[in-house]
Amino acid sequence: MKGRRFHIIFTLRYLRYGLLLCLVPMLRALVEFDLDSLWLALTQDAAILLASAAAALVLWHATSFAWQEGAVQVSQGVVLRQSQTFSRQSIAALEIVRPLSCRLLGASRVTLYFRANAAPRRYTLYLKKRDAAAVAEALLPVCTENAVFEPTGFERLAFIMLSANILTSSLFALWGVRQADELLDGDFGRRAAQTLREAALFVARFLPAGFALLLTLGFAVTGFTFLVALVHTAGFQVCRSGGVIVSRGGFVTHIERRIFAACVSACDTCVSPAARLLRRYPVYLAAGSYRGGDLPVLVYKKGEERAVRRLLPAFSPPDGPLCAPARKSPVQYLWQPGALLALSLAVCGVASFAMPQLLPMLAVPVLLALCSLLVSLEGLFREGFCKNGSRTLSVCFTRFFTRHEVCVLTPDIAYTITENPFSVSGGRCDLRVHLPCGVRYRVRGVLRYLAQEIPFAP
Amino acid sequence: MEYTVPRRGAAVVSAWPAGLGAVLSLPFWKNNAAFTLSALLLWAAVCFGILAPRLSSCVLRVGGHHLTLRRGLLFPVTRRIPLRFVTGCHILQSPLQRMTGTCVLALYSSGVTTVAPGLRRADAEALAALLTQGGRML
Repeated sequence: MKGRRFHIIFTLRYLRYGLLLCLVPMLRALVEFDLDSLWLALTQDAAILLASAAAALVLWHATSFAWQEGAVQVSQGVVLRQSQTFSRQSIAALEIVRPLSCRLLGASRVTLYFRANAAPRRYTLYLKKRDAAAVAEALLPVCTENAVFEPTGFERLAFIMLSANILTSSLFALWGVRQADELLDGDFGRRAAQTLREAALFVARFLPAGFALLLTLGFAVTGFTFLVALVHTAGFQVCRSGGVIVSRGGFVTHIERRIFAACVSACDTCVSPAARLLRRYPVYLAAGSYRGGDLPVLVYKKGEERAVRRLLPAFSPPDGPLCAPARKSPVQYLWQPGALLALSLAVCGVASFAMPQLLPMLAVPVLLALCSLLVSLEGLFREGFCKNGSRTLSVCFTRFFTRHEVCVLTPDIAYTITENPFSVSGGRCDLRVHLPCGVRYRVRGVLRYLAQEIPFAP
Repeated sequence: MEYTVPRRGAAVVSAWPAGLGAVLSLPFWKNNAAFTLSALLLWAAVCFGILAPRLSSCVLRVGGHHLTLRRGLLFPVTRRIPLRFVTGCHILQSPLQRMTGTCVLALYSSGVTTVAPGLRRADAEALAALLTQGGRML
């Protein structure tokens, strides 16, 4: 083995702690609120930063790694030296992330995800680009790359729409506006809000005022989300070679994921509202402590499950019916969305007398509650589980507005059965399936005797 | 093989949230002693009247391929773990538990940690030996 150092960007990890420490003198200066205290706080901050930079450099100098065929060894520590060896057999997935900052400096962030849940569950290394590629080849080698999924045309559009995440994109947008405010020393945030207000005023010519603002905001957020997804999924490609599933893509941030196919514990097909409209279903994989990441590994057309089998031959759709809806309790499924719908309708009823101009805006929660009721109704007829002949377990459950159809491929799962007096009298129970990555699936109203008889493979 | 939780073990574990409630109530004694006392008594009743029976109803069964833990009377919860994927056991004992010969057993498997509070120390050691060393005691 040949020992090498981490990339110098590794020191930034420790400098962050120094930056947090810098807040303490600044808080003291804020309490006293005079120039002398400010000067003292700035001096102390400079000393803290210098000390943490020196400590980070010493740690960087003391940390090294080496690799050979099938194993990586990392040595670290100044006073107490410790050495860890990660073999190919212990690794389920490997992720190489290269954000713009890392690409400019020629660095890569490599994260190793392990098979078992023992500590550490994952380990991050900051390496040079060439070293990262060599480590990936040593641990999860790829022989020939035959693309299994490479979206183009409408498939690409569907992939962008299905991998878009409104929540993370909105948070990213807020963070971006704040950073732009600080860096450019301008009123970027205020200008953005002003533009949004002007757009809402324009839309308000055709629609009621409150509803126009909501629509404009929704349009802006969705547009930004799709833009982020477009950049994030540029050049996306999934291959399978030598028992390793490789996915690559990204325009600004390059992401490469290598998953050991034998370690895949579950294959989750998410039937979200967008997926229903496009009739294309995204598939996420979980392997060892790897939970599936932010991008689906594949998007397939409705009824073409063989596309998933090309990537994962062990995948199988449910052999038989997943549940017996006649034995389920409709109240268990419908009370929450029903109560929400009743509440929204009551608010609408009051508003129709008191503030009729707010009615269009109040129609939004009514619509959401109605959609939630429909999804719960679908859950009543579809939620359940089934043990397949191919030694896999099919699980179907609904969460928020999405139906998840999961094929559990590993016998390394635990079950929790929860009951209450009503379900006991009806011979039902709630089942939770725990995966090695810590994810759990909850299936409501399954038959008690079936849940009890799930066999564990000896 | 079947292991049960004795009442004394359940009572010792139930005393922990009761004690925590007593500590948290300390700042309120000065202003409203009557209300604090009644709230504390209610909390103690919950701990020893509801939590303790729930804990003492815990049964651990070791089958051929899996371990089953069943707990609860009105709202029963059953957990099943495949034996070959149990990665470790952890036995914890407080001074009061050392006096009563009980302990808290934590079983680790990939994805889930199962805790059996109030188990007899001898039972916990035998179970840990069975799961991790094939029954040989250290």
